[in-house]
Amino acid sequence: MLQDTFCSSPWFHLRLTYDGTFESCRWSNAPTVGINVCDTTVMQYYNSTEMRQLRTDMLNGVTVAGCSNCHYEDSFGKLSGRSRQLNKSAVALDNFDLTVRSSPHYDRFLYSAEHDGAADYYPTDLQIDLGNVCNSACIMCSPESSSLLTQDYKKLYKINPKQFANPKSYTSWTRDPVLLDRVVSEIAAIPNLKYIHFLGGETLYDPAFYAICERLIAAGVAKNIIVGTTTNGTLYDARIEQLITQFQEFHLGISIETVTHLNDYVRYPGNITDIKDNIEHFLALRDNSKLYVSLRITPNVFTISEIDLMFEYMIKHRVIAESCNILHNPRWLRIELLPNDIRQDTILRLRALIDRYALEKHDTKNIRRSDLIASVIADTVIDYYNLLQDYSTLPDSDELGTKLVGFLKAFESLRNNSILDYAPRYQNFLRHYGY
Amino acid sequence: MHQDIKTFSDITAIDTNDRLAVELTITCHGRTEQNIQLNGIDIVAPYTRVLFDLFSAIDLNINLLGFDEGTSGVEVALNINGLEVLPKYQHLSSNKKCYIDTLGIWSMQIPANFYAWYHKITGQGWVA
Repeated sequence: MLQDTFCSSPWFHLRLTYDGTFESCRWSNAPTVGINVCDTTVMQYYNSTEMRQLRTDMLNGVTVAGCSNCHYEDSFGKLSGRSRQLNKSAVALDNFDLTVRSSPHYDRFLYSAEHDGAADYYPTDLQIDLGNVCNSACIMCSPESSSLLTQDYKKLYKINPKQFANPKSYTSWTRDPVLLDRVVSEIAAIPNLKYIHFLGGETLYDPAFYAICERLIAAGVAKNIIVGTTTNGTLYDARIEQLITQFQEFHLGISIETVTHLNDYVRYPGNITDIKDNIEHFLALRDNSKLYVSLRITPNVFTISEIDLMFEYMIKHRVIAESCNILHNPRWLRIELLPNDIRQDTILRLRALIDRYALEKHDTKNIRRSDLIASVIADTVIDYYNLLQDYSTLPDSDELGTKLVGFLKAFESLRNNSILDYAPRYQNFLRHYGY
Repeated sequence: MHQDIKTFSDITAIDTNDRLAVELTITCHGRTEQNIQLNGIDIVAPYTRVLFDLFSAIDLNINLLGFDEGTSGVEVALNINGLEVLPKYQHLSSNKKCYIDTLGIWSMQIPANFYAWYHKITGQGWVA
């Protein structure tokens, strides 16, 4: 059915990745065709063969391979990227045909249907990846996104080349001042641009982030644009306080997996005490109505066991968690590997949390509304409660368990730490796979 | 909802006539005298169900001609395609209520099209 596969994202969104390669979607897991911003403008990519084919596939009801992560989340009733993008087109999955027909974007869909996938509008929702300059080396991250992890992977490749690829070196497109200037000029000229999300590396650590923001302010377009970015929470840069005032809105996502020192192991070498201090510092800035703060969680096989503590923290501090990504890679960190005893215990603790706070499902789609924080938190808790009850174990669990142990031991040989100091409940599970 | 929408061309083929089912319930409390019009149609029954084109605007007007001050009035409930409009969004009516106890015309207007309007008033987020 079309409602199971269709997404409106290709009509208003695209992504510019770390090395300048364009991608059709921030949630896509498909390999790109390699069109690069070095020799292609943003608008040329927007109407490129790749984007036109994607729109045509969407219109023809094709199940697009790159959308599998969203489809997986849809299967649990979790708020997927697809749901969020459809919502931006005023399309409701529970009334799909009539809301598509009534969508303010209907004429754009129709134009593409009649013009071989071409679009007659503009991208209004951009994701821009600045590069991999980062002060964190999170175990689930990739060298393309972290300079610190790149150094680790060069060593890990020598230890275990089967599990750790030799990181490819690349230069971020933002390091070329002429190219940066050209791209920012193109972006500033896009009519009706509504949202730009910047990703690093660590954006608050990257001079390109401030340079682009300042250029948009100087061009006089910032007041019409919502800027979002994701930070690892290890830094507090006072320049943010000024930027918040210049844009229409400023959405800050802070990546955190749990509120205990297990976060330090996963998001190495962070310190959860410092991160919580910074989070609370940012939260205090919410009095400025232009700032919206959320936590960004991507639970893995370890941190999922403490997710009730994360939710308690969110309720206490009135801050939502955006989690429209179930961790897929590396596969050996997926929550579906969770040992059954810990899974059942986590379900019970989430049930107790739901009962204690009398949480009810609201199915909120517009999750960045300051007046709906309590509803969004309730939805997130219940979504994870349902996910933990419903997911199926992976068919290659045993193989993945062994890979997980090899993965952790390799990292720990560099970091001189042990997962059991942070998650002792996993001892039997890890020992079973040779830890 | 159609169950056989496989491609976008199936969506374009939807007959948009008679796609908005408007249900209007009028409850008179005490003595009242009024004229009611829904998209130009005179309404006299306490409960009315009318079908309109999917892209119709909705224009509900009630002209209160007589009532007993302080003891009577007209209460309005409005559902469209099963979605509650009144009393839930009564703040969007001309007197910001769904209870009429003032002589003259009370109105509730929904611009075309209904679903885009509903998306907006329910705060579902920006249309990119």
